[in-house]
Amino acid sequence: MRVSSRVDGSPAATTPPLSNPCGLEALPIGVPARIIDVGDHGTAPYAGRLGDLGFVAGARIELLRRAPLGDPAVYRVRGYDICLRLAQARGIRVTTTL
Amino acid sequence: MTDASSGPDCHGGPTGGTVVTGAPRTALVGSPNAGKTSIFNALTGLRAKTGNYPGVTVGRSVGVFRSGGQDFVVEDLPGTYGLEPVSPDEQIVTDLLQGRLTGVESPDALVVVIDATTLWRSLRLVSQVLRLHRPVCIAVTLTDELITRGGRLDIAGLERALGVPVVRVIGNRRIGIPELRMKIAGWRNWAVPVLDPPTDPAELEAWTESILLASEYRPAQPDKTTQRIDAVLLHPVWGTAIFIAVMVTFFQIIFSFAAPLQGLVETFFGWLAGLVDVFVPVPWLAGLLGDAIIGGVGAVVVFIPQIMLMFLLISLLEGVGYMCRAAFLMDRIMSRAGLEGRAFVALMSSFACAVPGIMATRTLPSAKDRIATMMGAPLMTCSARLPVYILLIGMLVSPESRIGPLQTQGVIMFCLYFLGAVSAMLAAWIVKTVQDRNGLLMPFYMEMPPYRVPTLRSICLTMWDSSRAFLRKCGTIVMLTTIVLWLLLNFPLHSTAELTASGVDVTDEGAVTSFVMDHSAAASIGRAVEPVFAPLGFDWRVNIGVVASLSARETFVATLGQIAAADDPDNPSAALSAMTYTDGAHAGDRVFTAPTIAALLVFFVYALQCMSTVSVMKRETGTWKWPAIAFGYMFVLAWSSAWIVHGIVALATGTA
Repeated sequence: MRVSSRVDGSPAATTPPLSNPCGLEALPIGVPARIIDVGDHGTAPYAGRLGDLGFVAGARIELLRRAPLGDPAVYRVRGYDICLRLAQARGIRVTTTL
Repeated sequence: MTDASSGPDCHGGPTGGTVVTGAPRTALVGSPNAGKTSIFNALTGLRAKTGNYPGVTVGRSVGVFRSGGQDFVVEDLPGTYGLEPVSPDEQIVTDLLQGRLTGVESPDALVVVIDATTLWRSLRLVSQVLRLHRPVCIAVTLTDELITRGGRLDIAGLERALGVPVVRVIGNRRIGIPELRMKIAGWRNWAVPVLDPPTDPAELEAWTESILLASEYRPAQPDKTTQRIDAVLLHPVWGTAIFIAVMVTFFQIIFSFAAPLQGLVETFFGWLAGLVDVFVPVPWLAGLLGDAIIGGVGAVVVFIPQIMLMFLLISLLEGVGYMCRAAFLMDRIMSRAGLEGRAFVALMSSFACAVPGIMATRTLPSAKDRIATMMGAPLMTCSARLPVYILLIGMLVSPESRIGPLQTQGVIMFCLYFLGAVSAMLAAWIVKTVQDRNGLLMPFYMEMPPYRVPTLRSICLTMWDSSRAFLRKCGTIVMLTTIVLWLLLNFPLHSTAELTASGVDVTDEGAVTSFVMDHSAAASIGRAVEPVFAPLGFDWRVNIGVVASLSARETFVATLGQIAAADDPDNPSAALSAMTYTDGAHAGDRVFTAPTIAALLVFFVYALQCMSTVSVMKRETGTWKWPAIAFGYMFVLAWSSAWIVHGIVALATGTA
């Protein structure tokens, strides 16, 4: 598996190698990763909600694209596409070591 | 077709539109985009009743279908990804399922609608619903898409693994609907799983994996077409350009394409009013019928083309899947106002009219966002303000006046639009901040489903629903206001003798009208509110216009026209400009000085002078609280801004 890939204009492209594990917000586009934990976000129901959406430890995840203004971003998790803001992505820790 | 779906259960029938008490109740539970609503529509046809849950801004749809001579009530619950609520809307679902919602009967049976292309995630919701220990049946949708995208699912295997009945349904094509009806009819015989699904995260993962294995599930490949379209539509440059083009087109269609249709509606009601004039000999009855009732209904119906067009476009964009892409592009900007991308469409539509704009807030998943957007929407410059602005700006500056290469009139118009938009965002931000002060901040997440072709049926249903609801609820309120207003402007009645005694030439219709107006209840109101509006430079006649415009802004132009007794009521500028104070300290001074006109303009930017907006707000929020707050804050804002502007302009121009 490739650990880093060239992504135009993305800040992550200029700072390889990727520190592993990292926050989901730092994941470069197109790099497959695995969720380590979803954090607690300070509130119990919301952590549960991320689980309901498929963000659970062990799930494969990939960043598909960011919005033109940098936030939010679309991720593929559990076979479907979902959009999260950076604020929500920050609490989720991922590793590119699959 | 089986027995269950043929016969009198499709349309009409004695129970049409009413909710039968005592009939078994089934609730549809599922995540947004799972196809819940299309199943609900296919099950109940056009016999759904929409409204709100008691005391909250959460929409409720209840319908009935008939099977084997018995009625079955079906309720379409708001979409949710899980039963641990993170928003008021989801709280409703959880409370209702647990029977804790006062005034709402708890369902007897539950149908969980799950999307086969997101089965992995959907099983989390299934596990939570199963733990409620109520009769559960699963409806799997989008199996056709799963197969075309190279996936696979064994329905019988899923049924064995879960231990509850599973039906394959494609709501839009009505596949599986008869089977689902029969299943619901036999809800008492549904299989019940022996064991509860686990709650521990690791065990729940294992449970999910085992279910997927048992149903020979192979996930769908990412949709190639969607990937290719997204590469363009979400591209930083092309995506933004296309988004702007789509919005301009959207605005154009609502704003200008609706105009000829609205013209037709106006002509029709004008013709009706003409008939009344000809065939009703009693003048006051003709006035009441023609001006108040037909005029009042016409004032509402005239919005129908705009509303239908807007909902046609919104349901098209929504159905195709573009709406969430647009929200994705706009989210960053809207987050400045504490809102999310999806609120953009509602605010944008409010440029045409706040009524469809407020109705468009239904696409927002969070009730707090809906309220905040509704509180801001009436500040967007709607088309009803336009005639007022044109009249007042025309009196304020001449068409020849320029600021550099730009026409001053156009610059003022732009500033008014800009002021409205900025104020709308600010108002939404304040309402959002106040509401969030002691509550969880709703996290933002939004599913991006593949692009899909919506069915004509689903689009027509949305249009029909919105238009019908608007006509029924708003018609009554607006008609009532116009009748009251007409009565105030025309009573007390004066006999010919009385008129002659007061020196009025009874053959001069204009003179009679202005005498009746001068001595009407409305005039008394206009004089009574003088202390309120005197600091803004309004005299009692302007006050009548302002009071009349509380029902609808555009009446200001017509009312002022009547009051000024101008030859041409549609263009009373000349007569108005020359209008002077009739009495008091300012007697003989011109009424429409620059400070007064500027104050009026700003007053119209902020004041909530639209009964349609008030009533649609009541309808959408289910309470009078929010329209009352909106009316109050906007009036205070309007008065104080007008007062400040009056002062500034008076200082700048050296007039008092």
